[in-house]
Amino acid sequence: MPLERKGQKLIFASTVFAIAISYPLLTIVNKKLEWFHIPVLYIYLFGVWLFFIIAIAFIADRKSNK
Amino acid sequence: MNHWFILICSISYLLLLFGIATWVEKATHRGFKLIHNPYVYALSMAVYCTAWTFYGSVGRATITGVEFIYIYLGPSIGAPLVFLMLRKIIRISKTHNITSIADFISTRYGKNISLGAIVTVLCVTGVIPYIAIQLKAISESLKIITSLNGNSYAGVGTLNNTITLLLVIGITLFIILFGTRKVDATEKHEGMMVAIAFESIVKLAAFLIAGAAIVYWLFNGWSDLFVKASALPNYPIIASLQGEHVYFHLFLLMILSMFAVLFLPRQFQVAVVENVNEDHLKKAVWLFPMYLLLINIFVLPVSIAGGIHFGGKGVNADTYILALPMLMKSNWLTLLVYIGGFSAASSMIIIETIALTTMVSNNIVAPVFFSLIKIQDTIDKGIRNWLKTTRRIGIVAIMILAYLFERYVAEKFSLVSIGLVSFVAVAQFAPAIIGGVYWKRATKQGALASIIIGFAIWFYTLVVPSIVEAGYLPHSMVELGPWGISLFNPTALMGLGGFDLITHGFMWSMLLNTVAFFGISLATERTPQEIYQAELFVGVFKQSNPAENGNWVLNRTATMLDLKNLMLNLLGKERTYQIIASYEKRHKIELAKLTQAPPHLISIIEKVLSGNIGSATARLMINNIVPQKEVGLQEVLNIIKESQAVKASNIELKKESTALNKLTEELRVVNHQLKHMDEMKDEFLYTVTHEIRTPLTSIRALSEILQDNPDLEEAEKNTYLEAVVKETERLSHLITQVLNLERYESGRQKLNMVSFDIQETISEVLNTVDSLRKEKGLKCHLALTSMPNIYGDKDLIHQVIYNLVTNAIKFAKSEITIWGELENKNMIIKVIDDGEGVPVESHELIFDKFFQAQNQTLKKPEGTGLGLAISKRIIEMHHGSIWVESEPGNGACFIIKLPLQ
Repeated sequence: MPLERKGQKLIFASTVFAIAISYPLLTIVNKKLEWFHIPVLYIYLFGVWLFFIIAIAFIADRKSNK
Repeated sequence: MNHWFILICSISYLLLLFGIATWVEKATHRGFKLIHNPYVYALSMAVYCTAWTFYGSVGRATITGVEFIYIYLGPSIGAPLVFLMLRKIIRISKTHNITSIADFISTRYGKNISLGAIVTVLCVTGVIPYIAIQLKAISESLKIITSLNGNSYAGVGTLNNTITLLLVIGITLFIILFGTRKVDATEKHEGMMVAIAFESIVKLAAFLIAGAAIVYWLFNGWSDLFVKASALPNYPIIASLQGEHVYFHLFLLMILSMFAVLFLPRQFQVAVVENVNEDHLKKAVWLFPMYLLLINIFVLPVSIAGGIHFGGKGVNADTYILALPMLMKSNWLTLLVYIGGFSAASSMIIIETIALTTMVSNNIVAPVFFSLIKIQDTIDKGIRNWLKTTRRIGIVAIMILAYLFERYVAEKFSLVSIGLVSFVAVAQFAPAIIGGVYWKRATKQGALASIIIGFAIWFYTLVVPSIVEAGYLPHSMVELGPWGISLFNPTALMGLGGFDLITHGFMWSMLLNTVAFFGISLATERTPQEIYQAELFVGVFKQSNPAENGNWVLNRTATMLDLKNLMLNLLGKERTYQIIASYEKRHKIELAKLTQAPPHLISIIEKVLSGNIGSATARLMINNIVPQKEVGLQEVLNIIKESQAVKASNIELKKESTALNKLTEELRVVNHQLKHMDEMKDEFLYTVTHEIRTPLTSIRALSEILQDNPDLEEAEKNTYLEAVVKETERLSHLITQVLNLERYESGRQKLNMVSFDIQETISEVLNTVDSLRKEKGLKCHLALTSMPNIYGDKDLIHQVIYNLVTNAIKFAKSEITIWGELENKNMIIKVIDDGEGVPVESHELIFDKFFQAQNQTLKKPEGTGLGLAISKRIIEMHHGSIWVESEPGNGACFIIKLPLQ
């Protein structure tokens, strides 16, 4: 069942993303660190977010090979 | 900017929406379906981003830093999970013609009217303030955009209110025109949806353009902005997350917004009711998060920019995005931002109002109305018009409520977190819906308790503190608790303080709500109707169209006359005859001839009615004409059992069919083998007789010579007689070999197993053929190392070696070699000659019977052509193997491998 496997991949991606933006991993970037003067926390959140969206697009929206 | 200019721009924008919606509806009628497009679907989901996002996020970021992102991270994380759950919810809703959250919950728990009504009331209570803040956003933005115009402020206030009212009327007209075209709420609102998608593009474009302009025009890019930001007093808050429970708060915010994107009435409307194709989810699942990311990327920069330019000057941070372009003296940018904010507000108002109206009319008004009136036998056209009018009145009522709330209540309340308060309100449906979709055992009492308890706590922990703040209740209530009982303090229940209001309220309401849902579900029993609905919901992917599928139809009867009257009254003439015609066509019966309506038809009508008046009311109407009111437990159990039996027997059939296929395949192979063997037998017989005829012919010819010529010389006679004897020997040798081969192959030959010295056997063979070898002048090499005794039939092995050696002598030019050694408990014997060799393609064929005879191109050497076939058979009987290694021109090497035991 390809859809079931796709569903599992999606749940996996969501879980990893949820962990990445929660305690305790979030404390790593929640510091007074800056990158090109921009707080690392801000860059991290948007970076992880974008990566996640790309991953989801790749999993969910690939042409199903029937 | 001038009021009238703004009014004209706003009205033009509204007219543009009317134009788009009208054009789309006309195009749809011509068959051009713009709505059948995953991008329109994904963009319409962005109705999640309201004016509260457009203006409020900047304000929130100013106070709490990046915390606001979690309101959008939640739906993004949730999108894949939602994708999975939404697929199921969409399928259920389409199968049962469900048109709202209230309808969904009431249908799941036995088409219960009171449950639907309660959900509706709570939705309206929770969401009207949310609509009100959209109106407030419109009026606030008007205030800002017209404030620097030099007009006196007092006069401006009333003018602004008038403009706001005009715009509200415009939006209301739009909803009535494009939202209530059809009585059937399951019909898609194509025009409206495309207009909403268009609004989503407008608000995103406006925010991105304004954000980019502020970062790159007002400042020199991101680095410059953040360098200047570090001087701001609130910079530490912006740059990092602070607060005692901040991580817990963020986590709950994530969960909360995940629920909101599923259960807000407007989200349910765009994601479920307006969905035309489940496959559109595949695009929406990543496009929607992408939209959220884009609309948030400039929020923090705008907040910082606003802080740098307006910090401490009394400008509300919520309006930075509008105030900054005005500061930049860019009229077109200001107007763009204003239109963007207006589009965010209006899209939310439009969809939310439609969703609430459907809920109110199908779950409150319709049940009350239809239980009061009696449908007459005569066709009453009024009922259908009445339904439409109710919806329109509902829309106007909701808009008036929201407008009044905005004008007279909103200013007394802090509106900062009113969006989140609404989120918490609709999140109370989460256990009842998620549990209802995946857990069959959930009961009506469980759902009812969970929703009521959840809402009670929501009201107490989130609404009561607002009322206190507005001054309607004593302030001591949130400081000391009601009547000084600190355990019941609405901001710190059970003394659990230190949280912000949203975290506190969400945590308590969800906790008790979920516990009540599972606890009470487990403690109560389901009615047959609930069991039936639970099966239909949880197992939706296993059934195909239960209304028409025989196994799932409830066994109800009604007179055809009653049913037809009901249809004519509620669906109208056209739709009634259309349904009857398609039913007659599909089932090939004439309904006019029947007095009793088939249960099938009743189920179909109930489903169609559900889309018009809600499933609970539809059930009520059907029950009016059906003699037996309630479904029996036994009947429901039978239905479930039957459908499971059908499923089981399907699986059984599939298994049997697979087994049959396998058997057929095996038979085919065996048949093929048999045919092949039959051919081989024919060939063998042919070759044998052919081989026998040759010597017989020569014997006969020679005998005839002797008979016809009695006066032949003695010497000549002897020559002929010798030839006859030789041919006879050859004949009998051939027959012996054929018989031997037949004996070996049929397995009748018993092996006479003894332990013997193979070296001795080889020597014996060499002695026997010594004269033959010398005759051809061949040298013989013997290379035997450490040859132990082997266990086998001595005579047969002797025969094999004899065959190989005589063969070698036959083909060799100058020498033969016999080579033997022990290898891993196997005896290897090689018989090597230096003759012409065997072509590679014949390496296996030479072991076939009569290979020589069949290959007439080969020079035919003497021998029967059975020697190698017999040898192979004998070696195989000893569980050994025999093969040849040879390169043409370099001689041949026949190898025997025999196990010692």
